[in-house]
This record gives sequence, structure tokens and C-alpha cells, in this order.
Amino acid sequence: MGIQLGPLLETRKIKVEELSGQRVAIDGFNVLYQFLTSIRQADGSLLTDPKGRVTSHLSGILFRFSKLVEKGLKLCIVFDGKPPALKKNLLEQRRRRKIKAQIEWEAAIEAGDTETARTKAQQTTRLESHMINESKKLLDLLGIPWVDAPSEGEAQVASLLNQGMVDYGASQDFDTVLFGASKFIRNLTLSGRRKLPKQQKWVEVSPEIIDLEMSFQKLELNREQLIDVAILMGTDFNPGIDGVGPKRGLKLIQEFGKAEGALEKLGKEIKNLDEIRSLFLEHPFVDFNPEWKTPNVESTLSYLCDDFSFNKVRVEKALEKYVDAKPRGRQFTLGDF
Amino acid sequence: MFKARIKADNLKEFIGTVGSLVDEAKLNISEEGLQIKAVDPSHVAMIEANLVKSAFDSYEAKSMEMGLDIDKFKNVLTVASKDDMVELEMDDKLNRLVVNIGNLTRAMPLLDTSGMPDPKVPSLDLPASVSVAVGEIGQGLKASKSVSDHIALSTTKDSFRLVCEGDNQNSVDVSLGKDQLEKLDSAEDATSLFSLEYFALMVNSLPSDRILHINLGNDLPVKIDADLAVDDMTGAQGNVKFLLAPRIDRD
Repeated sequence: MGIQLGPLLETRKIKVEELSGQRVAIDGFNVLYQFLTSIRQADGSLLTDPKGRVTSHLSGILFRFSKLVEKGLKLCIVFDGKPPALKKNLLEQRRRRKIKAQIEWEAAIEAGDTETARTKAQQTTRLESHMINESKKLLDLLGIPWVDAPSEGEAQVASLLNQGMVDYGASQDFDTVLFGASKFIRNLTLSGRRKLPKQQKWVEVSPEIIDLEMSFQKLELNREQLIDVAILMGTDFNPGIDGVGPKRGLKLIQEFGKAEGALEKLGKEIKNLDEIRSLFLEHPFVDFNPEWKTPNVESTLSYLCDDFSFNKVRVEKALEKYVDAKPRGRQFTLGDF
Repeated sequence: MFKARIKADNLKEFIGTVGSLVDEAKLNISEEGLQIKAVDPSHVAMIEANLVKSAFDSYEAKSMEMGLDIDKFKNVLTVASKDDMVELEMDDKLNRLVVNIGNLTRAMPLLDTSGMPDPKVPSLDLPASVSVAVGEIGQGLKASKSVSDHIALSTTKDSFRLVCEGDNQNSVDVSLGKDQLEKLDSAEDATSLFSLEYFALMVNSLPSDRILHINLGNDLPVKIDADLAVDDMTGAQGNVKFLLAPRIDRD
């Protein structure tokens, strides 16, 4: 879940308007987790319909995406497939952490501590397969294309980018650059005010573009070497070396060129080193040519308002943004001429 | 070494045009005058501004580069009224630019220019050209801002049009015939779509009586040339050239 490569990479804050007309592939699991984590009530419980079914994910798709579509962005959603075998340990750890958080959440509600309850509740976030199916159905109704990746979604995002099917990738996870995404955006679906955990403080979050080319130039590294830095720090596929963060990892690879030399110097070992590398470098993907369609207003209304009891006026208002989103043209740069 | 004296108005205009696109820029100083070439961070727009030696009251310089915080510089110049004289002097020892306006002395540390790119100017063949005063299109741009974030510029053999289309049938249409234009030369029709924000920033960085020489193509960048440091007696002592990349409808 997001290796801390941030300090090493060249980022540039942008306005969403700059992305008008651009095709953006969004890491679907990443964004649905975000919706399920953040779109909650004060005590941390998820939004539900009268039957008790969770609606936070549908609410996120309809309302948060509408703000992007309105500005002329063309979204394409990429869902994760089967996780690589090396990710099993991490997934098991996460599962256990969620069970622990569930117990603490219940305790906090018991004690009337809403602040802790909310934090703990967010840590229990689970993305269940019916939520994914409901999300896909809503995307179809809204005319937003989506694709199932054979394995990691970020790798599929990177392949869509490199094949010119989209102009940008979007995810919170820095791993996306390791999979080779040349232009990717963070904070796309988060922008605005965001609460800091455990504090009554808010920060202004704006989208930023990570420029991989510039980052490599600045760091004097290539992609293979950045992957090695990440592996020393720890990735989704390996725990990493104690005491190696972004700065130390960078220094080690700058000095030794690759992970082997650094590990020898540290007197440490990383199992399956080549396999981890190839997970980043040769990750499976499928060919996909996204097509954007006009939203089906009637069916969307019926799905959200009849099936899930959404407020009709609010849904209609959001749908207007999808319908009105005219192609405003893609902004070219002077380098294109 | 660099030491110069100039009327505030002329310097404000020069810095103001650059400030419409970038916060920092590299000032190239030569014995002939000042030049700034800069590209905005998203590489959508570019500016080249020149101020020749004769725009100055006095001017002594050897070739050098100076990294300027344009925002700060603009701010310093706001204290000067139009006809005030501004003295600029390079302080080599402390690597800063000293600005004297009347009794006020403002020293500004210079920025490192190593990260500031020398923009490559694309070579363009733009078939249509039109010359129009800033004032003729200013209102249209202002009205467009509440309608949308993009504007289409187009020429036919008889007219120059600015069209801004928004949601729910909102639109602004400015059509200028030959009698409202200084010049129009458009054998073929030309249309390109642009970001309204960028276009308005460029146009509004110039006074309303200034003539814009606009070169336009189909789905191509627009080039806008204008005079700087205009004096009734001696004519223009500088010029500015803007380039703005278009938006292009994909489907």
C-alpha cells in the first residue's frame, strides 16, 4: 500500500482544469478504497440504504467523478485482478489488522469516543466483490469504460499509458511509477480540504503530476534502479531492509548501481529478488481500447434511486454534469508542434 | 556588470507580460538590451519579450544571465508611478539586483538559473493573420469568463471571431469586421480552440490601445506579437511574442 517514494520524485501541482479533454486511467481498487474510507458518517459507519446495504462506493463514483467529468476529463477505470503470489503475506497482514481495528472500533463506540471510532472504522475498510460489481454496473450506466486487469491494476494503468490509450494514470500509490507509468497524477479524486488523522486540522490537497522523466534525470537513476531502491525500502512484494528509507535507499543504489551490491555491503539478503523485479518490469496486462459513451440517465436514476434509495434531486443534479460534459478539446503543449 | 535607468511604465509592461505566464524567469542581458524567453510550467504557453537599449534613459551592460523572481519584481514596481524613473543595478558581490525608485532602495536576491529551461520555439506555418487593438476584444474575454474555460478564435476573409460556448446553451460571440480591425489577411478560413485563462492573461497584460498581431491556423498554436515600450516620439523600443498551444477536439 503505497511505498514512500514521494520525496524522491519530481512533482508539480496542477489544476484539474488543465486536464480538460485528457484521458485518465484511474486505479479502481485504490479509488474505491478511498471512497469507502472517507465517505462515512461521523462515527465512522458507512453510508447505507434503508436495507442496510453499503452505498459509499456508489456515492463516490457518482458525485466525485461528476466533478472530474464536468471539467472535461475522460475517465477509464482499471480494476485489480489476481494478486501475485508474493503479495500473499501483505494481504494476510492487512486482513489481521482489519480484524483488530474492527474490535477497537466497537470498543470506541461503546466508550462514546467518536474521533477514535471514525479512525478505527476507516481501518476496517473492506472492498467486497459485490461492491465491485455494483461499481461496474454504475460505470456502465454512466458511460465510463472500465477494464479488469489480469493482476495488479497499476501495471495495467502503466500499459494503457505506454500504449497511448490514455494520457495520464491516477492513483495514490507511488508503486504506479515502478510499474512504468510515465505520467501519473496523485490526489485527483481527493482534492479540496482533507482532514489530518487524529487532529482537528485540515489541509488543502491539490492534484499533482509526477514526472518520471524529470525524476530520473534529477536522481540520475533509471527505472530498474528506482525499482531496486524501492525493493530495499520494501514493496508490496517484500518487507525491505530495516532502517532503509527513501534517502538511504537512493544513496545505496547511486553508490552500488543495483540492489545486489547494496545488500552485500549491508550484509543482508532479500529473497526472490529477481522475481520481485520482474513483477514490476514484466507484469501481465490486457489490451484495451477504452470507449466513452453517453450516460444513460433513466437507468442510472432507476438503479440509484429505486434500488439504493438515493435522493433523486441530488442524483439528477450530478447526472446533469455527466450529460453536459461536452468535449472541450484536449489541451496540447507547445512541444506537440 | 549591469546598470540601467528606465521609465517605470516601460519596465512594468515588460515584466508584466512575462508575469502573465511565469513566476520566475531567466533575464538575458546583453549590450543591446534585455530579453526574457520563458515557457509556463505546463508547456502550454511561451513568451519572448525584448526591451532594446534605446528604451532606457541610460544603459550599461556586459553579457550576463540573471534569475528573476518575476512575482517579487512586479510587486516592487507597484510602488512606482507611471513616470517615475527606476534604476537597476547588479550587485555582483551579494548576487542580487538593486532597484532604486525615488528614495526607495529594494534589493532582491537572484535565483539560480540552472533549472530554468531555454524554451524551444516550434516552427509554425500559420496561414491567417489579423491585427486588432486589445480594447476591441477585452470585453468579450471578460464576458466569456462566466461562460466557459475555453475560447475559439477564427478568421474568414471578412471577419475575426471569438466564440465561447458553455453549458446549457450559454455562449459569447464577438465578431469583428474589417472596419474594426487594423488588418485582416485570411485567404483560407482558420479556427483554433484555446484555454480562455491563458489567452486572457496574455491579452490583458497589455494596455487597451496596444495592437495585437495575431497569427492563426487550424488546430495550431496561436502567435501574438505586440510592441512594448511605445513612445509617441520614437516608436516602439521593444516587442513581445506569445505562443499558446491549442486545445483540439479528439472526437
